[in-house]
Amino acid sequence: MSGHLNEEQITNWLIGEKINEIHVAECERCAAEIERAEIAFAMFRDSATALAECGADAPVRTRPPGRAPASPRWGWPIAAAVALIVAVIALHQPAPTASRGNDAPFMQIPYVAPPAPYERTEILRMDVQVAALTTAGFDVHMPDPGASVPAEVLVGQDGRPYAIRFLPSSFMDNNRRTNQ
Amino acid sequence: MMQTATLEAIATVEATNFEEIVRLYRPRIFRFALASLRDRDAAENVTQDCFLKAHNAWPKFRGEASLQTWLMQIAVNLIRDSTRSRRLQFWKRASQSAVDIAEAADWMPDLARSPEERMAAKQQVAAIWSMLGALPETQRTVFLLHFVEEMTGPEIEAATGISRGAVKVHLFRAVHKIREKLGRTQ
Repeated sequence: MSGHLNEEQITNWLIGEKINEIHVAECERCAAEIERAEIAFAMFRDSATALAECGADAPVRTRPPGRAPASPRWGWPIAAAVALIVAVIALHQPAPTASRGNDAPFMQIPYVAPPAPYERTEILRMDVQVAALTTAGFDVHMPDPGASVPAEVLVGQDGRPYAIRFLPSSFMDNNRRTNQ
Repeated sequence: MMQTATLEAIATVEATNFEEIVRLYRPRIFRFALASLRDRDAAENVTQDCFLKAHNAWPKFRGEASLQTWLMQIAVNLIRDSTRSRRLQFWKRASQSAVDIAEAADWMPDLARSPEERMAAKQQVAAIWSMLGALPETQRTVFLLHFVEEMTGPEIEAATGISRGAVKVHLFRAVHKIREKLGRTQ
């Protein structure tokens, strides 16, 4: 074999796919790279064990609710996503028929990474507050920021909203009438 | 030191009572729940619920999977439900019991290391805790089951309901991302 193990091969080794064993046995550099990661994972395991064993003495978040996040770089996008989640919680109602009759494209929520290809998603139909949209990074021009707009929100399996598309008001009105 | 249930112990436990099962497996389930949720209260709840469900289902346990795999299967499902629920409800009240990841790295056995080595080790562990929180739920679960709970591919498959091939893919992605993060801390 020529050269050293590449990143993929090292990762495979770490998850138990131990190919090129002869090379690793002879190559100090590759062996050291693998050992470094294995030690880090072992230390992490020790940390998880110690944390679980330390009971009530474990470190708990002492930061009071509402205090600004530690990282200013990500603070605003996280706050924006949070605001949208809050709006989702407050106002969501499951879409009775997911997106029938609406061909508008979904818009990705700014600063939120798209769902992984294998992630299960669902579409929730809800009223979303304009203020939350603005906070999430959408450029919304409405005189009343307290107003809400009907929309369909693409939500991941962990409840995180990924994308949104707006609905004509008649969609929600029709649904409400149907539900009543 | 966290107890590891041996095959002998399992055989004994199966012949005796449920309290013994709780005593043997609770630390492990709690550790997995705490690492997954990073919230002590939520982890406690999941652990309690896990053993409550296990107790209720105990007469139906046929031993097709090992006891640990069966309990982990229950825990994985409870953590999945809890994560989803917490994502939607978290901001109704800020959790006071959330584990501070920056401090979680402090919880390492105090091995004989120099201050420099200890600092480097702490940074690496903190990086893993941090990256773990950013991983998709399935990758995080598979990573923890493999590297913390030391479960094999078939055991993870049984506990998560994910196919062996998918377990490998999730594990590969998790390790790859964590290694990238570790690379940036070195």
